[in-house]
Amino acid sequence: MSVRGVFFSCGATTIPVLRVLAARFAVVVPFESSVDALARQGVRAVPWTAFETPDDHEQVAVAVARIAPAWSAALAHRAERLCVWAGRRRADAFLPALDVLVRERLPEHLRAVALGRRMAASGRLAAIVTHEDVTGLVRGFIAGARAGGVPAVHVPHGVYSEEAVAGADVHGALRADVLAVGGPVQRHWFARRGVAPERIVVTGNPCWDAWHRVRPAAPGALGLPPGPVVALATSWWGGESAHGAFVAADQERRTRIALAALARVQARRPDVRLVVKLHPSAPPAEGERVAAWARAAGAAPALVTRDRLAEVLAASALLVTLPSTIAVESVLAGTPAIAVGCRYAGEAVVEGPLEAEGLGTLALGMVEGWKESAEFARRRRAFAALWDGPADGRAATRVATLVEALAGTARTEEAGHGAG
Amino acid sequence: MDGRRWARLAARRENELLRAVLAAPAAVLPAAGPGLGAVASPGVISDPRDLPAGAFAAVVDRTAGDAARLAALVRACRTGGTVAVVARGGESPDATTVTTLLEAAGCDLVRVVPYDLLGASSPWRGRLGPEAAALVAELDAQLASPAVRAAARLLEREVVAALPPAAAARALVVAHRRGTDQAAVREPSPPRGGPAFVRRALALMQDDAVVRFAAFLAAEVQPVLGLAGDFAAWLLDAASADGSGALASGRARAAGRSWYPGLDARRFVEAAAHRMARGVVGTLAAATPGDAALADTFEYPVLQVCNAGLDVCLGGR
Repeated sequence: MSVRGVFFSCGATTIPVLRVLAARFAVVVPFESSVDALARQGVRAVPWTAFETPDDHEQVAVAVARIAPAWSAALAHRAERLCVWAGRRRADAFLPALDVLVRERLPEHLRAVALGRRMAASGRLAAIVTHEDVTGLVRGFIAGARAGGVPAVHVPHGVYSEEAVAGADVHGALRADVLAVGGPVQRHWFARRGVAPERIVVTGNPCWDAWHRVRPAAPGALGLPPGPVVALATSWWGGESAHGAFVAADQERRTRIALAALARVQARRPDVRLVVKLHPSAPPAEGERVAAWARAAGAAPALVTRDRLAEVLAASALLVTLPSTIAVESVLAGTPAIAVGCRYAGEAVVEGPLEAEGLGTLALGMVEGWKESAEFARRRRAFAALWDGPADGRAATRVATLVEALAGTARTEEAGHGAG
Repeated sequence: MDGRRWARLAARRENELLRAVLAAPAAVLPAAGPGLGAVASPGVISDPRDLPAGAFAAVVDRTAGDAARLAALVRACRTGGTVAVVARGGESPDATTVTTLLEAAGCDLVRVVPYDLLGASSPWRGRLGPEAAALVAELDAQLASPAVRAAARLLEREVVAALPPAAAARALVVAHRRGTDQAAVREPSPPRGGPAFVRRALALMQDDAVVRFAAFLAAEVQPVLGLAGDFAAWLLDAASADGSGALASGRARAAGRSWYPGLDARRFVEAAAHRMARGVVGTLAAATPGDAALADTFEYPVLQVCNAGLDVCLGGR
C-alpha cells in the first residue's frame, strides 16, 4: 500500500463515501468478500488481513490463553448474580451461551484490536469510517487504532426511533471521534443519550443521496396496468431482538392491519395497484406468509418484491409502512408515506392508526393528488431538512471532506512494517 | 450518593401514613416534625409514661419500644382511640411482636402497613454485601427522575404495603384501644392492583427512566428479597384489560410513540436485557482490568445472548 489508507466498515452509509475517497486513499475493508464485492463495482480494496503478521497470530493466541479462562471463571462466579428473571436466578438460561460466545469470539475480537494497533503504528492508516460501531470487530478495530492516534468517523444509518427502545440501547454511545449524522433529528437522538454535541456533525446521510435524484414514474415502470400504486413495506426486526415472540406478533399484527386497510382502499378504488415490498433481510418464506395474510384480508397485491425499491417508490402514489428507514427514503424520493402506529419527526410521514378502518380511510384520502400537491412538497422540504440536513444529495462528499480533514490530524510517519 | 433520595421519599411516605391515623388531640413521639401538619403535640415529652392517661384520641410512637413503653402508649390513649407504632424490620420488636404487645395491652389490631422497602435498615440493604454502596448510589441516581420518584411512591403505596412486614425497613402497626361498646374491626387489606393502579403504572412505564427502574427492581431487589413475580407477564396481562391504556396512550404520544398492549412488556424486557448485558460486560472488564476496551467489544453479542436467554425465560409469551 503505497498511499495512506482509510478503513471502511462496509455498509449503506459508508459505501458512497468509500467511492469518493477511493481516488485519494487506499481502501481497507474487513473481509475478502467485501474486496470482491467492491471489485465488481470497480473499486480496488485491501482486506485488513493483509496487515497481519505471524507475530500477531502468536500474540493473539497468548492473549486468548490468558483472558478466556479468566473471563469464563468470572462469568461462572457471577452468573447467579447477573442472570435473574422474575425473581429467580437463571444462570442456566444464559451462562452456557455466554461462555461459548466468549470462547468462540475472543480470538477474532483480539485480532481486530491487534490489527487496529498495527495499522495505526504503521502510520499508513489515515482514518476509520464506520457504518455501525456496535459490532465487536469494528469496536475492537476502533479501540486499537484510536489508541494509536487514528481518527474515526461514525456514519450511522438506522433511524433510531423511540418506538420501543428504553433509552439504554447499544447504539447510543459513540466509540469514534466524530459522528456524522443525517440531520437534526438524528443529532438530537444521540445528544439525548449523552454524546457531546461538539462531536456531532450534520452532514446528511450518504446512503440517502441517491433518493434526491428519484423522479416519479408511471405504474408501467413496474409492469403494472394504469392506476395509482400503493406500496406496502413490511419490516423485519430480526430474531435477535429482545422479546422475540412479541416482536414477531407485533410485526404480523401491523402488517395484517395494513393489509386489511388496503383491502378497504381497493374495495373503494379497484384501480389501486398494491405492491408489497418485503424487507431485504426478511427470510425467504416471508413472501408466502405476507401473501397469505393479504388473501385473508381481501387485499390483492399486483406485485410482491424484495428489491427494486427505487422503482417501487418512484411509481407509487403512497407508501404504507411499518417502522423503518423506508419511510424517510420514501419522502426523500417524493412519495408520501403513512407509518402504521409510529411517529416520525416532521409532517411528511403521517402516523397511521393501528386499526384497519381508520388507516384505510387515511390511505384512501392520500391516493390521489397528494403526492403532487404543493402542501406535500412543503412538508417534504421541511422533513428532508430534519432528517437529511442539507438534503442536497451531496452527503457522501461532505462526509469525505470531514474524513480528509480529520485524516490530516492522523500520525503520518512511516513505520516500515505492515503490508506494502 | 448514600440513599438520601430514597430516605426523603420514605420519610414522606411515613408522614402520609401517620397523617391518616392522626386525630385531635394527638400525641406524637418523638415530637411531631414537619410534614405531619398541625398536631396537638404534648411538647417535648419523649417517654410515653409522662403522658396523661386517656388524654389523646391518637397516640403515635415512631420508636417501637418494649412492653412497658407500648403499655404506656395505650394508657395515654382514650378508649376507642388509635395507637400507631412504627416497627422496624430486623429490629426488636418487629411488627408481629408490636402487634402482640399492643393486643396484650388492651388494643385490637386494625392494620399493619409495611413501607420503606429500600431504606437504610431494610432487609434489602442488609443482604446486599459488597455491592451495596454501588447499588444504593444507582438507586439514588435513578430517583433523580421525577417519574421514577412517582413510580417509587406508587410502589410503596400499592405493592410494598401488601408485602409481609419483614420485607420492608419499617411497618406502621395501627390498633384501637378497646373499651367502648363497639369493638374495633380489623380492616381488610385494601384491594391491590385495581384498574386505577394499572392505568397509573402503565402511564408511568411510558418514561424510559421508569422502565429502567423496573429493570433495576427486577434484577436487584426481587431476588435479594426472594419475591417471585414476573413483571413482564403482569404488564402483558394488565395491558390487555379494557381501558388500561387510557393514561398510557397520552403519555406515549407525548413521547412520540403509539401505545398498544404489550409494548410496555417489550420495553421492560429490553431494559432487563440491556441491564444484564451491561453487568456481563462489566464482569469481563473487571476480570482482566487491562482489557476493558476488549470487554466493551462484546456488548452487542452479549446483548444478543441476553435477549435469547430472556426469550427462553419468557416461554414464548
